[in-house]
Amino acid sequence: MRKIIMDVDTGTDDAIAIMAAVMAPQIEVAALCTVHGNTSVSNTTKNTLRAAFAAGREDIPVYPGAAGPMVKDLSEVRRIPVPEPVLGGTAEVDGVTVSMNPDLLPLPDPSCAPQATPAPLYYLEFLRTTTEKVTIVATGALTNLGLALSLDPMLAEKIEELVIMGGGVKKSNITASAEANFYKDPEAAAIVLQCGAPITLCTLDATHSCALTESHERRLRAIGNTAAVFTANDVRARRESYARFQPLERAGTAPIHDALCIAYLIDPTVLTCVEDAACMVECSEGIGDGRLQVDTRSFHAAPNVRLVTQADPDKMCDILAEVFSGRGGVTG
Amino acid sequence: MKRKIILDVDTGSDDAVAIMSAVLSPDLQLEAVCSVAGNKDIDKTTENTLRVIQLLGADVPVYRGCREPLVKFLCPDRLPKRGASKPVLKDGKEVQMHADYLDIPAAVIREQAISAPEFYVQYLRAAKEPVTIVAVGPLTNVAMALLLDNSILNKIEEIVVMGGGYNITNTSPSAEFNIWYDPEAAQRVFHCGAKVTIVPLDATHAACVTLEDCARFRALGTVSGNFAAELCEQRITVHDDSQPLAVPHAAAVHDAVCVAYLIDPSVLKDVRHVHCDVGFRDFCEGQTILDPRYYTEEKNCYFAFDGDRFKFVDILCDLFARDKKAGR
Amino acid sequence: MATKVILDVDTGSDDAVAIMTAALSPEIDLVAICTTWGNQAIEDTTDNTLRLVDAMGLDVPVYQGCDTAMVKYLTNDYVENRPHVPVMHNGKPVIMHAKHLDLPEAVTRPQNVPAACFYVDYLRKATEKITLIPVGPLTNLGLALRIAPDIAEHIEQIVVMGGGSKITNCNPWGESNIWHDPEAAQIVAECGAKVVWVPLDATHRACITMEDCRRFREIGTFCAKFAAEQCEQRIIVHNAQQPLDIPDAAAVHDALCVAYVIDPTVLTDLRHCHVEIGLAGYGEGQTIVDQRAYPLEKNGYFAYDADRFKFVDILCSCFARDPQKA
Repeated sequence: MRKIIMDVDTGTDDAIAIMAAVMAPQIEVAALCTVHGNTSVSNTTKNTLRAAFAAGREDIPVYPGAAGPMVKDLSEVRRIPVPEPVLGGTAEVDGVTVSMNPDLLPLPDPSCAPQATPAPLYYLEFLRTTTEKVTIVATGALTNLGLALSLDPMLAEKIEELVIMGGGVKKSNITASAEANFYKDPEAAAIVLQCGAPITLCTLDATHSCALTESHERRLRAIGNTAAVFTANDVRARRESYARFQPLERAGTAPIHDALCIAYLIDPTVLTCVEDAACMVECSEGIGDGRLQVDTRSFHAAPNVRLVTQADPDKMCDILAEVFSGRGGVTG
Repeated sequence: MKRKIILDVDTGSDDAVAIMSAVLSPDLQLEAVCSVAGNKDIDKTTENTLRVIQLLGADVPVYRGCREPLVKFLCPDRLPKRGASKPVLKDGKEVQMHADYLDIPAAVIREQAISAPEFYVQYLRAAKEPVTIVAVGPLTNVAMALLLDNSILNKIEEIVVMGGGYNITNTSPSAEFNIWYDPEAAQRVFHCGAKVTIVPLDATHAACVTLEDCARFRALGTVSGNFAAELCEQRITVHDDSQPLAVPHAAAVHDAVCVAYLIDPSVLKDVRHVHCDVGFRDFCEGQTILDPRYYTEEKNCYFAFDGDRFKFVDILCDLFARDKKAGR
Repeated sequence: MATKVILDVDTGSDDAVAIMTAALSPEIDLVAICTTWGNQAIEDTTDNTLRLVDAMGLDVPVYQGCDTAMVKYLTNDYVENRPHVPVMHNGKPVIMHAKHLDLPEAVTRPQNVPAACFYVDYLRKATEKITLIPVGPLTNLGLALRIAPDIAEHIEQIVVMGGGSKITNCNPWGESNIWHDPEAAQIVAECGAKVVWVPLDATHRACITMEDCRRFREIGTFCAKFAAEQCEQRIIVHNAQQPLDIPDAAAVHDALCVAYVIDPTVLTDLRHCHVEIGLAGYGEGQTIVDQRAYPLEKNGYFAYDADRFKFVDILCSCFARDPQKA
């Protein structure tokens, strides 16, 4: 069993990642940390509790994290909102409207409450005292980890692996340069990429390459439980949104970005292109803010990241289907 | 009818090949050559430019351009940091990508009295027909001219820029030299509204010149063929040592690709209409950032992702064969 | 012998007063006027300058300059300038800089050479050193110094209206002229020629009162009356938007630079110091004066105070020389 902490800005795709992680027999979710991103941190905290509950767990502690970036907001010009493209769409499923990015997820609330300890402090306490290394899966802005690692850089030694959804090599979404998770806290992303822990970075290139199709959606829906139907609905809403606003290479498909990180922990062969690379994150006003920079010189600097740019959509669906149908042990 | 062009160069080994190509082409009418600081300081790039023009006995005016980028050097943290690159030795001699001075007779001819930006404004204001600007160094002069009088745009048919890179960089992890040296100038030129064709490292590395190609140049028996062979061989030595290409024993001769493109556009392959911005700060300083999104910002440039090296070398051979001066 | 001067203006109410003062002063030989963008778009500042040149019947060439900053607006992440907000006065809107000066339309056209090219050409050929008085954004000079750094040797001094140490106006840290094109200002700051900064600290001290305007009007010449009109308009806006220590008064910034060339003692606390311009973040467009005991190399003179009585006397004596009656 692999012990993980998830750091999420739930978010429909974060919710799918949470449900898959919670239901996978290979994974033990020790804690869920929340952060600003897809929506406000109070919403992402509520959504995180709902997602874990939907997967059948009320006992996993949820630590509310940072409400905004570490420093980016201090600069007047960096605070200027980018003209954000309209991307979120909805779809009708059996007469019900499903949305790709609702503020609150259409799932029932559990009776449990979030923890009182803020997420960065939880990292500090937990990682300082733990005797075994832990894997951290971060699928939102990296503010919590940035803060914790700033307070104590030695925490990196307790991290077995950092699996991050963020950045894009040839792709971007929120600006011409940047992917949203990195853009929302570039300094935190920079701190995390330089921390020294082994990092597997699932970029936008990878998540787009393993976008799910209509037949994947049908297969998941047929499983019939809450997690599978929620995922199928999200695939539907995303397929329609992407077709309208950002058509992918394969028509009619939809990326479930954050879930790729968990799929990878269950079966690493889902990633089909992984390279060692020297990466940094741009932290400055202007066109580059939040951009993932990969050293492309023939004489590049020392690699600090396992850079993932491609993944297998069929395998991604297999993994999710097996986990959601309670047969998750097959590939382990 | 010949296509009128103005070359803007920081000569420079590959600039020299570009100038010779432009002078010798029957399809192009080289109206003037402007120098700019880049590969070397402005005194050296101007002198080297004059040397090449003189070598070919061409009757083309040379205008001295800007000594510094628009604003970059105002910030101490943006000043170029020269790493101590170890010299490349061949046959006991030190070989550089760009020697301080080209190994041809010192110039007796002189540059014109007015500066390059002033020339652009004067010339373009008076021009009866549109002119193509081929800028293969930092874009300081061209940006300066556009700042002086933006209405000269009407007289510009196309601006062909050697610079930038998508999959390939050379000066910083994310930037190519010409754009990195004056990012603000590049941003102004890319967004000026004229047709801008960018010939980045992706195209110039693909359209490389090999040692066999050099032998072909030399076999032509002309001054330009010989000199081009020397320059390319020198570049191959340095490329082999510090930035080997996919094709072994080959060198990019960046600037000449831009001139070849004007003679035969098909020398550039995979040319896409894109939105291209230039980064100004930190890691992305001087980076050519292409908007990858479906909902891209307004497309402002044509960006070449590939080049045809066989076609490129054929064009060069054809040009050097036209040189009436026999080589030694 | 009169000092040879080139004015660089974004006319502009106080620019107009500066042009009149320079044109009428016997101490100054006004060889050319360059225009720049700033208070208004370049077409309007050029038009206003030409209107005044025509109204005064001056034989001075006008060179149109740049229409935008060197680099500031290349990205979309700059902070917008606040527009001039009109003040209602006696039922009429009054603004610091009207789009068009209240003068007949210009007949004269600008010269056919961009201002920056004129600087390069004129200064390179100059046989004596020339004084430059740029009172708008410094774009033209920034370009000229980049095209031909050697022209700095032909400059007697550059008297810049711009910046502020304890006083700013367009944002918490910046004065408009510098903030509009900080990079150009920095090029001027480090060009090697003598630079005198006439910042808000000095121009607010050398303010013009309603009383002074009455003095102008009593002179009875065209220029005196027109200056009075410009100053009164400025007083109305100052009172409403940036009241000075002295009541019913206005800074007439640009004219103070001209007055300094006529009589240097009008600036009373001129310190030799290291001046640098902030280029990024909150410091953008700030004139940073190195105040330390061990400052960086002194590269300019920064005026902290001025004598308003002397200033007004200088203006009055110039306006009195105008042959045109009001």
